[in-house]
Amino acid sequence: MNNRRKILDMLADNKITTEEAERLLSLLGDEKEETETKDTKSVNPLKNLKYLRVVVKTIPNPEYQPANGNLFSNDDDDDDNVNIRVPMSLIRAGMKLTSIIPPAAYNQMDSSLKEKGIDFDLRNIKPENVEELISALGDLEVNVESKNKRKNTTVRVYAE
Amino acid sequence: MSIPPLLMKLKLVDPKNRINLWIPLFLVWLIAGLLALALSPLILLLVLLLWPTGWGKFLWLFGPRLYAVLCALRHLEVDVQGKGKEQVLLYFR
Repeated sequence: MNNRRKILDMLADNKITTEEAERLLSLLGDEKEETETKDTKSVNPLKNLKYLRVVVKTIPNPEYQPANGNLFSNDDDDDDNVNIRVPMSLIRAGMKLTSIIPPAAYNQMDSSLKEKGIDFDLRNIKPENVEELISALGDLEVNVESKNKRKNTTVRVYAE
Repeated sequence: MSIPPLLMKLKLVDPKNRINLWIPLFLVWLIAGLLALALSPLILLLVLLLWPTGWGKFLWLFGPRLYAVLCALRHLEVDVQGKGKEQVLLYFR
């Protein structure tokens, strides 16, 4: 028995009011819409993505309790808000640009990276890997607590 | 056909000043294009000379790839807002 039928039966048995039934049915409708949207996105999640957004926001920490009771201070030097919108085409074009680096330069870069302890070959990165990386980023959110604990910085990376 | 951004918006705001500039990038591309055209014989010669080392291919493909990157700059937006009313906005159009 589906959920819609269950709600209608409950209404018929006077277990719920008409308003409650209406609300439940509308919630079911929203749920259905959400599922349909997810299905559409899963067919080709990257097709409609045009930009990669990086948003850095600083907000006051609501849990912070200052020792002297003074919430305001003059040393607010870490509350810049940053909003960057990078076209996906720029990332792709940048990746293509790396493919023309001569082998000699690649070897030099690899050895320099290995010296720093990074075992990473740039030649292994293909444009499709970048697509995967972007889709994996999805909706990444990193919360950074500032040293004085009065503010929280949120770094959000997402594709739109 | 895609074209590089024609204008760059630069907005600088602080409590005392407010600068809003539209920089005509198309003039830059025009000059760069003419310069590339003038230097093309030299570039071709360098491509031929450096081909065995691998750098020739790099030189040959660098122009078109760079052009693709420049075209992709369109709609790039960087917006930094300070604690007061300071703001730096960069937008390619």
